[in-house]
Amino acid sequence: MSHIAGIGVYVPRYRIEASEINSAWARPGGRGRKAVAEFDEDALTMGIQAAHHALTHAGVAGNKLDSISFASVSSGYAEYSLAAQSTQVLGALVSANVADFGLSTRAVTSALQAGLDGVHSKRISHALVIASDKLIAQPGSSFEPNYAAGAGALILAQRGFAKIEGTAAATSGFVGLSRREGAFHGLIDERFVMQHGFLEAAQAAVMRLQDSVKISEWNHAVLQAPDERWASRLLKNLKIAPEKLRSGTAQIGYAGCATFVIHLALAFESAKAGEQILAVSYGPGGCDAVAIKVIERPKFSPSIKDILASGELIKYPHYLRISKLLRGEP
Amino acid sequence: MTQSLHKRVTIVGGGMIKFGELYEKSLEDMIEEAYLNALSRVDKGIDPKDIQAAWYGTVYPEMGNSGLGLSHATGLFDIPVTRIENACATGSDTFRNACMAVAAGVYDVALVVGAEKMHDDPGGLIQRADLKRLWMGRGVTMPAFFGLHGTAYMHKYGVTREQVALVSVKNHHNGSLYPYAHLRFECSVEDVVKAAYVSYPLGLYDCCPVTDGAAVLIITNPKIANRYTDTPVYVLGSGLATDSDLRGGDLTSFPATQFAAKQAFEMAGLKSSEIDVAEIHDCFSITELVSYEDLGFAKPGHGPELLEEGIVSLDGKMPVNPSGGLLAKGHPLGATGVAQLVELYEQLRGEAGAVQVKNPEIALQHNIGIGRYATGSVGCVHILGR
Amino acid sequence: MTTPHQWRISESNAKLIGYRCPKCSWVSFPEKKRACKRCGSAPVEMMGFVMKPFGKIVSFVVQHRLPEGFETPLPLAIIEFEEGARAAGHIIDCKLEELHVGFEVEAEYRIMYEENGLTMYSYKFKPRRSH
Ligand SMILES: [Zn+2]
Repeated sequence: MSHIAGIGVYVPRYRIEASEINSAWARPGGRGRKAVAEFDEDALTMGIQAAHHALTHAGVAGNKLDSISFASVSSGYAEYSLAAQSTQVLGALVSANVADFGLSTRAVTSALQAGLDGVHSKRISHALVIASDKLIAQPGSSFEPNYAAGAGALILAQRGFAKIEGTAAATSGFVGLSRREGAFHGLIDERFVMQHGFLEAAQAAVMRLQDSVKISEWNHAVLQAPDERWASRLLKNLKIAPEKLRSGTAQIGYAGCATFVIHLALAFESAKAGEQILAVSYGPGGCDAVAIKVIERPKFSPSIKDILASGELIKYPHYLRISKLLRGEP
Repeated sequence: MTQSLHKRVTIVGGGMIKFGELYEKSLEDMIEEAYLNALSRVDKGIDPKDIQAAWYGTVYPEMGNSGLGLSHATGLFDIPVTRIENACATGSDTFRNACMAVAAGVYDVALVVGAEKMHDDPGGLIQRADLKRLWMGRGVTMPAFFGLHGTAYMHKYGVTREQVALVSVKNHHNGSLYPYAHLRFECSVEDVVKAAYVSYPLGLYDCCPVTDGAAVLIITNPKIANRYTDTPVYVLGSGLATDSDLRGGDLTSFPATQFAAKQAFEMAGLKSSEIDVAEIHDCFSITELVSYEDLGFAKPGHGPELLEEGIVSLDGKMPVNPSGGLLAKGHPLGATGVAQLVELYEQLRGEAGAVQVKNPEIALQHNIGIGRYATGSVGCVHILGR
Repeated sequence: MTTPHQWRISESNAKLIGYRCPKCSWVSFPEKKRACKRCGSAPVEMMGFVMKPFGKIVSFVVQHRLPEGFETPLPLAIIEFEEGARAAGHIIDCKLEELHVGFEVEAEYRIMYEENGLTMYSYKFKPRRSH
């Protein structure tokens, strides 16, 4: 079976509080804060940082990578290979496989699955999966206080600190979200999508993992989905205790594909050897679920908790400026 | 066997126009006016037909601005006209090249024109900061290049912004007296240090303005100088060099200036202590300060003393930039070096009016260029004498 | 679409490769030179190597006046890498008050500019945090 040998997280420097955004729109309250990318950061640059951290974490040199996958829904391109661009920057050999995954936030688990298959079949030794997103929600929309930026990366190998016990998919055909290139990020009807696009598929995928891990055996749960409330509904429906959820959403918001890896890193940091992590990834059309068994708790320096808790608070005009929203263009 | 330029070229005439925001004048209009001024100021008169060759220094536009521009402005067709560009040192290098042809004996009488139309370019020089040269200075504008030297210099020697500001205060004072200067106002140290930053550590008053202008010199073989004047000015020394901050060094000096000065002083057989008056490149206040040291007028780190002790003031022992320098007179790139030489020609002949220095015999001119390789400079130095 | 100029600089934008002069040990960056800029030796065979992403500030300015495409105030510095190579670079993730001559920095991959519909990436420099 395939293992995770390294995991890296990159969260940009700035944070904005939900209440700061709300107050700009004359709305009361707001919980948590989100990470904001600098004007000169995008999915590629953040993904590269996370990949460097993952390589260091795994103790693997760039030229040992056999495959590089890049998952993102915010590359900004209809055609362009972030994976190919990463290869040169990370010092990988020209012979490395490259693949780009996108069009759905499930791309992160699709990329993971492809890497796992390659390592499992022993076709490749080291696979790098990068997940990175810079989500820009429409100013004033309900998504704005939560849609954020960040990146995560995983090194998959024959050996590692965690073992992939199983994967499962559930695809319903429910679309839920379509977005044209260049448009703002954000769903249209959350509750409807949650019930029929997300919960049904997520539950089905998790149930399929029961061959590997029973519901009662999960020690930690992580979820990549645009709304934190979806996680509590899922756990409630599955009868998994809510305190098993590992999430950094309150500190850094939701960063698409990256959220899967960042939350997973949080789970690793709090896990004990032998514990089981349920990792669910949502994208329009369905969900993937992954069962991960911790062999040995990995060390992080700085800690993932500290990375999420750090950051410099900025005001709304600063946020608009560096997000290139101040000129009134997406 | 190489031969030096020493005393093998004479200046017999010079003229310029009042520098400024000359929206009403074209490049050719400015050249024509400076040319006519130069002709009219030749003591014994000169027939344009005497001019055997001309050198034309201008920076804008980089391509296709041939010697024809000079011909169209002056009516000097049918003779060799060479266009020279060496960034902000263009005017000086134009003069230098003309001098070499005269010293070589190829021509007896040559014309040197430096001119720049800067206000026809709405974006200005900042737009031209080469944006694609990632490692060679993307975003390094002229104020940034000199500001980098300012930060390093001030850090190493503990020099304050107030001390650097003394250059601006001095040169604006001189400029207020100089009829050809673009900016004619005085300012205080407080004005300088409180002005908005352009490129920290340089503020608005640490920077020269954007200026249109033109200047012209007429040079001859010394053997025939007396046809035109009984008081010619001799070229005693000349030097030019390039450098790059990427080669090393602590950025507290401009090595190109040091090498150019070494060449010029050796050629002239003079020491820096023998200079009576100087026009020193002060595109930014810090540039003049650092250049005192590169030119040998002060030991490293001791430049501010020349200002504090009044040595470089208009009534000092060695006045620097009596014309107001680039800071007040303005810096129309191609015209700058030629205008500095025109000013020193007048100083040495006692014709500088309100900014006349007391009886100078030896004068030094210094000009720096940067251009698109914004990580190093071109330094050019000339020494003139009566 | 990639232009010839973009292609020529793509490797030096992606990797910090220095080239050491065998005559004077000066490190050329990012160009592989056959005529040394430091000692003038020519021809020389310079060997390329991947530099560590660490260096220090030789000097800096804070740019307040720049054309479209730049965010100001922009700290800009001459960086000397640990291996000796020099470059003009942009400083990021840094409070302006922190900047000083000798400040230790590390290179980070960032967006440099947009051209022909392509985002051009290379390295900027942030305060050194890793070792
Ligand atoms: Zn060398």
